[in-house]
Amino acid sequence: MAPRPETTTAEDFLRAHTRTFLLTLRPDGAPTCHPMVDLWRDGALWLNTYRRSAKVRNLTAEPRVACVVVTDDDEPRFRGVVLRGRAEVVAAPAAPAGPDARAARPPGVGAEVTERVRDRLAEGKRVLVRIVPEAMRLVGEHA
Amino acid sequence: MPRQRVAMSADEAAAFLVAKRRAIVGTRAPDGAPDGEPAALACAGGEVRFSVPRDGPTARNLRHDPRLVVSVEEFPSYAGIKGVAVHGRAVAIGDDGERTSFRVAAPRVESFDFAKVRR
Repeated sequence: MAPRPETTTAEDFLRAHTRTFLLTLRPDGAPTCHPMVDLWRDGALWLNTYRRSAKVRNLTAEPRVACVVVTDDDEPRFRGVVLRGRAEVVAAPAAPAGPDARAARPPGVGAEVTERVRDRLAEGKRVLVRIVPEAMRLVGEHA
Repeated sequence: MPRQRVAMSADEAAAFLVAKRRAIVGTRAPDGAPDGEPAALACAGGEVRFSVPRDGPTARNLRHDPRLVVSVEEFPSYAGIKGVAVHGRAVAIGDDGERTSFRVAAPRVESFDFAKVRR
């Protein structure tokens, strides 16, 4: 069966945009937000963060999360995708290791930053988080 | 990194919010899982206000659980990353038939400014 048009649009958007707001639950149950850079690969959203960060603590306790992936605020057609799903912490070697994934670098992030991130992943100070979507919806001005 | 070393002052955070027109609002859906949606932001007089579609998920979620986070961020370059998150409780203050407006009661502000990172 062909994917629904909305799913195709959402996946095309996720392939082209990396600005994401990760929403998790704090220990007291209130929502909290972590602005991040994501990568869409193999039908999942991937994040890279410190193992001892609040976001990893939160999503380990409650794996249900949401991500709002959006264009820049001043984009004439401001739009995005809200993805709800489950997060899991993945050891670095299980990451999508293809050359394109390793070379991927969002605008404004210098090569020295990606180098440092790669070193800290190898040391185990940073981890990858994979979010497998259970539902996605479009927001804003999609064509 | 320890957040307190890169936090904005209260005045800096307020000025950052006043200049912004968009935010991401995080809530809890009725199933208990987190949810989020972009919102139109309008901060003035020390108050954080925003509006969302009245029939959308955020307005619905806030009727079940008023706890929320309002997040604003900019990323012109890695060293220029700045963000403010306001935690609190939503109070509905208006409804024009299409959108519902809220203010954030009991706000608690967290912020970061990568320009303050010691390199």
